[in-house]
Parts: sequence; structure tokens; C-alpha cells
Amino acid sequence: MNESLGQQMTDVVERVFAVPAERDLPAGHLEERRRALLQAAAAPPAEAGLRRRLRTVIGWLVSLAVLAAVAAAALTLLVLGPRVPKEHVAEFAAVTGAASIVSVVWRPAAVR
Amino acid sequence: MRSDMTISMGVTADGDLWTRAVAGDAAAFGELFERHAKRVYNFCFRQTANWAEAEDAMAEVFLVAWKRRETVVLTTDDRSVLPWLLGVALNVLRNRARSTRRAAAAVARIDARNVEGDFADDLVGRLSDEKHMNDILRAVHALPPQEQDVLAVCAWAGLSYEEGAIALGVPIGTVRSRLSRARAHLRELSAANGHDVGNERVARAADDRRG
Repeated sequence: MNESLGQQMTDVVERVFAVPAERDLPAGHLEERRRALLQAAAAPPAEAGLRRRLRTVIGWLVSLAVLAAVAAAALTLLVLGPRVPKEHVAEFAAVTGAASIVSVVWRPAAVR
Repeated sequence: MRSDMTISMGVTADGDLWTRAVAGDAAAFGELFERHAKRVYNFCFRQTANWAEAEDAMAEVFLVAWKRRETVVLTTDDRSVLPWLLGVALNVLRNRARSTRRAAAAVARIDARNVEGDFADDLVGRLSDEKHMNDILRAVHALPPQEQDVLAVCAWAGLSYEEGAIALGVPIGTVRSRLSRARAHLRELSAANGHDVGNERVARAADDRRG
């Protein structure tokens, strides 16, 4: 392999480990970011906590309503509806009920 | 003796600041921010290849850290908060990447604004860094995500295996094996490019970075 061709063919490993050197934040940005962070930190945490709790309570109430609706629909199907296999009704009720609970419990976590 | 004392003082200060921050002392958290902002900023840059995006991500990392401070127990010998911050950064960046993919047009607008707004003397150098880092990330993205993470944390950010384990939330042995697999994959990539790279060369590069 001649030298120019060798230069053109960049070594993957060399490239991966030769990351750009560390840099400081642009002038003034560190102070600005620090100020913004401290402002956010100084905001009363109770308000955010209350909102979160309120959302959770509403979520659970909606989930319970969905469960009740699913149970009612399943019972109606079983008692009055056309001939639907009981297993299918049970599966439908289980999946829908579980989905409604999971939708309340699950939150995309930003941190471990 | 003097060296020991210096290290000891640094350790105490970091752990003490964290304890105060957990108790709600925002000023102590501000000091931690000043101490680690640059490392987190550069870590984010090496994941995004975009200095402006890295700055936004860094700010988000510290905001998340503040909100979740009560859930964290510093377990390393020197009680450094940096490994945990880098772990938060990985998650923040992952979430931001998802949002970015959903709003590619908006990102293009933000990029243009950021280039115009950055009047620093080293603007040319920063643009060069971004191009360079983009090239690197293109190569690294050929690796599985877990190996990309361990490479970023141990090879680029220079964390020890123990600190890397904290950042990634996995046992130390897993960090070692993932790093080993990442090296092997990089060698395969390199060989596919027509290069013969010795094991020790790759290992040395990673160890050099870790210090």
C-alpha cells in the first residue's frame, strides 16, 4: 500500500480514540447556565410535587373508570351479547385492564 | 503526605457539597455545577458532535440531578458525583435523541441559530471539532449501543472501571467485558477497512485515556 493511499484510508481505531480535546464553555455561558440552574432549583418544589401527585391520582381514577367500563362491557357480552367464547372475553378484559394500569404506573425515567 | 492531604481535601469537599445539596442548599449544588460542568459538557459533546446541543444537554443533566439528588448515594472511594452525572447524561442524551429524531426540522433551525450566535474566537476550532466528532461517531455507531456507552464513559471520559460501573448502572465485570467486546468490534471494523491493528494498541489507547 503506498503512502498516499495509506493516508487516505483512515484507521478506524485511531479515529475513535482521537476525540477532540476538552473545551471550556463559551465565555459567560457557564455563569449564565449556573444562574439559570439556581433559579430553577430555587423554585418551590412543593408545587411540582403537588402537580405530580395530582396527575397520579387522576391517572388512577381514569384507570379505575376504564377497568369498571371494561368489566361492565365484559359482563354485558357474557350475559346479553352474542355467543362469544368466555376465554376471548376474559383475555380482552385482562389485556385492557392491564394496559390501563400500566399506562398509569409507567413513566419514562430520565435517570436510573 | 501533601499529595494525600490535597486529595483528601478534594474528596471531602465533593462529598460535603453533595450532602449540603441533598439538604436543599442550592449554593452548594452551584459549586458542584462549576466543578463538573466542563466534564459533563465535553461528555455531551462527544455524544452529540454539537457544542450548542451539548451545552443544552449539560444544563438539563444538572437540572435532573438537582431534582433527583435525594435518591443518590455516593459510593465510590472519593465520593465523586461525576460518574453518576455522566450516567444521568447518557439518559438525558438518549431522551433528547428521540425527541430530535421526531423534530428534525426544528433541530436544523436550532443549529443555524447556534452557529450564528456563537461569537467566540475559537468558533472555527469548534466547527472543526464538530466535523471531526461526527466522523468518529459514524464509526462508533457501528457498535452496539451498550458498547458505545462504555466507550464514551471509560475511553473518552476517562472514568475508571468502578466509576464506569456507576455511570452505566452495571457491575464492574460487565464494564470490563463490554469494553473488551468494543475493542474487538473496533478491531474487526479496522480490519474490514484494510488495517491490521494489534490488540495492545487499542488497549493502550483506552488505558491512556483513562489516565
